[in-house]
Amino acid sequence: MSDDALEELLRSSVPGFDAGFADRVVERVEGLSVDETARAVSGYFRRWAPLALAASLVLAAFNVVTTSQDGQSTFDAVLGLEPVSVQSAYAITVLDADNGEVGR
Amino acid sequence: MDGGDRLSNRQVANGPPNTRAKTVRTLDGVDSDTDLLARARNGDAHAFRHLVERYQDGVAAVVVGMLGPGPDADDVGQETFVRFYRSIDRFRGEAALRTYLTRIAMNLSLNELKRRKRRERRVLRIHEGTPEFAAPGEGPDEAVDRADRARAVREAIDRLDEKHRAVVTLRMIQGLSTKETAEALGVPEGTVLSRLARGRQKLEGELKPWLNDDE
Repeated sequence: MSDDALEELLRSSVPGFDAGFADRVVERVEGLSVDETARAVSGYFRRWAPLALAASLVLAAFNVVTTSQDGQSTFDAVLGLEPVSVQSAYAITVLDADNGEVGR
Repeated sequence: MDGGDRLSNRQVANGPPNTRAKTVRTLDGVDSDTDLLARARNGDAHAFRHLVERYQDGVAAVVVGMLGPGPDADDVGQETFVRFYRSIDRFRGEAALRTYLTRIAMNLSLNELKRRKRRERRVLRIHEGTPEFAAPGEGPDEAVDRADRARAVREAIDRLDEKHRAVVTLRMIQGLSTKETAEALGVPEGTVLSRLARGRQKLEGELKPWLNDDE
């Protein structure tokens, strides 16, 4: 029994891909370019996410240290919001773009 | 494969036509792999398609040899070229493109076999056979005979364990040399030879009736 006969039998019994294989591959690759863009964008954001998170924490700490006042909630302090009272609402400065400050 | 016809007069010797596709630019306008790769890297879809057409038979030999025909093999074949496309900028040609694609196809096929095993533990797999359609110019008896033979070969290959099946597929179906097979599988050449001998022995035993018919 020759080696060639066995190889020939194996090869003749293993078919290739169905017709249109190259079309199917190219179709998938074309769809891939959209996925690749999305992946690149999300990868870019993921790379900067730790830095952005660290910066947010630093700003929050800065706000708490510099703007913390009596009666202010922690949430307001973290966001650096001034306490709002009726008195402070009436004290809002109204600005006129052309003439500068016009009243309180 | 249309590329296969055009390549036939400049293929390297020692292998089946569809797996020996190293070409040079010639007067009749056949592009070398290097040219096609350069164009594909620049987004030329036509060049990439040309590479797929040139190497799809070689990839089919690996994938269908390992998994058998069917939608799984087609998916793995497609995924092989998609992976290649994704890494095309990193491919510098240290290995021949054929060996590179063979390695991707073999790794994906082995992964698919592992997935199948996990699935088979849960569900009894329905055997995906080749439909028994007559080829052009073939009578019904010949079609049935061909289908029976293909089924017998498939079952014999399926009975080989993964290591022997991989070597038999690359050496005997895809037509790689012992050295190329060793490189593709990451094993010494001696291991390839011993696995090949064992695999061949088992196949010859199981396919004896079909081999005797041909003689």
